[in-house]
Amino acid sequence: MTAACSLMVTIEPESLELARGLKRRDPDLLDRLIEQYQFRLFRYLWHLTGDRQTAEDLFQETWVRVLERGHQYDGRNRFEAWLFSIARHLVIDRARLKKSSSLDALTDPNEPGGGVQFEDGSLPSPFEELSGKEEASRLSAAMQRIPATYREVLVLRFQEDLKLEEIGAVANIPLSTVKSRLYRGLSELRNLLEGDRP
Amino acid sequence: METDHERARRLLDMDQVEGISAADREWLDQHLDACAGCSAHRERTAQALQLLRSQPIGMNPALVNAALKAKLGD
Repeated sequence: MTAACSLMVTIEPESLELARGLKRRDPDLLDRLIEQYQFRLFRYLWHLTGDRQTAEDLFQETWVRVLERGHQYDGRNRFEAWLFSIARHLVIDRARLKKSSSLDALTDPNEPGGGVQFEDGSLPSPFEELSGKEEASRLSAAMQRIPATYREVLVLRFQEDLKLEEIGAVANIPLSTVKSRLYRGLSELRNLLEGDRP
Repeated sequence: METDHERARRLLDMDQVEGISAADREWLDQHLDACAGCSAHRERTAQALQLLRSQPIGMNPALVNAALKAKLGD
């Protein structure tokens, strides 16, 4: 295969149909998209922000943005990658408003940092709120100690099943960085869970 | 120089992140059959990812969607 061939982008018919519907601001289509992607979007936002209320606010803002900017979706990437990308930008915008000291962690590809902090430490974390189970608590503790840049790619890869190239598009980072963050994140997650084992 | 154990653990992670070749898989399977330490490492990795994948999503769609529909209806 030539280099040119390997760079060709195949647009799936479903994605093209989606793009046309979004250009028309088709309300039925938006309803279907919300129905289909609401849980995954919310989970991504919740992991990234660590705060339920902020995630709910950004969830709504994301769908409003989808409606406003739907004409910009061209079907070249899967819809969920475009959706997460919009959500991610809103998280960064929100962090800027709050003057988050860890903003660079998400925007600077060379700086893993600590994480985007919105949460009130006295409130239950995403995982703790879900369940009082010991496993949920262990995972919560581990994820909160993993830098935001690593946490993000772990969620996109292993929970949302995005391809490496799609993660790169969402986070606006090269493929090599996606891989290195996944390796570091996986190593940290495994070590933290192992270290916390009773 | 990478040891067999280091190679096995690198391939285990690579398998999860980007996949490995058939030749690497064959070598890895043989190593894991003979190495308890690396087999345990594989189990720890599988358990960590299973825990991550199996987390439920704590969202109340009715609550979120009611507010969202109100916003979109503006």
